[in-house]
Amino acid sequence: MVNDLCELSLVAARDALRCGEIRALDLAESCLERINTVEPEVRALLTVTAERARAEAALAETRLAAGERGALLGIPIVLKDLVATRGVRTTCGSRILENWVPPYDADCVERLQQAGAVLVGKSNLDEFAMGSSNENSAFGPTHNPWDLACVPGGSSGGSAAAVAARECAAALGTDTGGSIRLPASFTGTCGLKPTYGRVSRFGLAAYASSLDQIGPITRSAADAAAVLSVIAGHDPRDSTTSARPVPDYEAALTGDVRGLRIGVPREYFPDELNPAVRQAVENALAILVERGAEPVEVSLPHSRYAVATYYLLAPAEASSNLARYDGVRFGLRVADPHDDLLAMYQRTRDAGFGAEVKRRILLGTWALSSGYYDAYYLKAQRTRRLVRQDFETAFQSCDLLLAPTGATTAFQLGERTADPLAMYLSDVFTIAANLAGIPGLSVPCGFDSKLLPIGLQLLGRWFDEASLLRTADALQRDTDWHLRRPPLLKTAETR
Amino acid sequence: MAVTLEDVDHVARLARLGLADEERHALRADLESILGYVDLLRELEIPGEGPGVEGLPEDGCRERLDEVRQSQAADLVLPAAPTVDLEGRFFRVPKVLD
Repeated sequence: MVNDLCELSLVAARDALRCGEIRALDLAESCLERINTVEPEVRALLTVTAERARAEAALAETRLAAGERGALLGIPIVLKDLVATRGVRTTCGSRILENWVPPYDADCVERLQQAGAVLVGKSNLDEFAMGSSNENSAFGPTHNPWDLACVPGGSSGGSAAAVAARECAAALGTDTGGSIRLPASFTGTCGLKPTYGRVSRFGLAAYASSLDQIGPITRSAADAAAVLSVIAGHDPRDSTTSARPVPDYEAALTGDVRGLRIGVPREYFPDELNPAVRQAVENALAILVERGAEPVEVSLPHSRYAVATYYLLAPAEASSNLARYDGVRFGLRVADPHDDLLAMYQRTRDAGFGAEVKRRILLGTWALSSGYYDAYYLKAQRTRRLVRQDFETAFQSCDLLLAPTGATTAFQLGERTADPLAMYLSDVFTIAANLAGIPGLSVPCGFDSKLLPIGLQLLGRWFDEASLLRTADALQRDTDWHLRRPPLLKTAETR
Repeated sequence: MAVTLEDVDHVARLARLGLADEERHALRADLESILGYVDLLRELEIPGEGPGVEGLPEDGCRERLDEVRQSQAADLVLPAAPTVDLEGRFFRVPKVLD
């Protein structure tokens, strides 16, 4: 049976499931049907877990019938394929883990299951989350549902595209330098990178451990609040997780932004900023001011050093984290019969890693190597402190910051692949939040002349996700940018 | 900053990364371009000492109790290994010592 239940937002679906208006199995089937229709063109998913989805939906129906009110009971979700799922292959977008089936679940997966979520698939990504366009996946790029010739952004591009194409109600992504926010911006979805320490990374394949965070990609701020409430919290298996209590993020969505001081950092509005992006972001600010917020001009003077700092620190950490992929205990092994151990390592890693992963491993090894450590790694660590201090200073005069998420809208597939540095600069507005550890959120705030979505970025104080969600939700009460549907879906329906 | 092919070979060896010849040339040019960009940091004079501890959560890392607990059992982990010994008890690797 074909139905359009997959069009329901997470919150709407949850309410309809609770009062028995719709069935979890029908909702799951609707998503699976949508996946079948759009996946040949969008390619957001590396694995579709149809049987598991049906089993979990049946279980959710039983729990609902018993009167349970699990926060995500029966809600179809997609997980970035960087998150370990017991019994479901987890590739990290890499040949080196192409056939790896984890023997355990990530902490966030356990929490989602507990809450009753229904897994429909694992999403495509830049290999080991290294990229801004999804073109670094070993399994081919995901296409942007708004324009199939464009990238969905990266590295959580598969998760964002799946949400935009209504293949699921919500997805998890990860954000090390903008990998949730940039894809959300490019696909017209809502993406939240929580504070460093808010969500456990147990079971997440590590890229840059001092920067990585897991967060939701959804169609609205209210949906993101529902998911964050489930996945946030302390986990003894990730010692960086905070013991702070997890607030009720949905209760924070009051629509009230009166008196909220919104900082506008001048460094995020350079002269060369795309005019459509500037216009849309300024419009969003005007709407919030109309609701009673107060704009404040602020400065983050070390912003121009953030990308350079990131591209020393993140590769340095990656070069260490990815040492584990050596062909010994799991994943790919490539060896000739007469290879010694070193030759086996080298051959395995040459065959298993793609170009961008090799580039970052070499860059990071360089930054940490004898003779260069002080000039590169140490200098970058100290610059990171300055970037963080910028935010501490700014938050003395405002409650959150408002800026564009990306300097442009989605670019064409292939447009930036020849020049790694041009690709790195895609993250110019998102990287500083990771360096400082603060939460950041992207919500749609308009479209450019090519009808591609524009993202508004909100950055908050440490552990103040509630203010970001409340502000984004207030904006969404007055606008319908987040309700627009990619033209692809209309085409798909008429077939 | 000038990067030579020998530099590339050196860090590739440190990183246990085998590289095809054309990759070496491409990566040399990429590294030179990226390191040229990050040289931007040189213009910053940073007073004070030490790197500072960044990348820690706002309220520090948690310590947990030092308890004996069950870890991944070998029979769960070994099936994912590329090669194990005949009885399936150990990871098998090429000869390490002559």
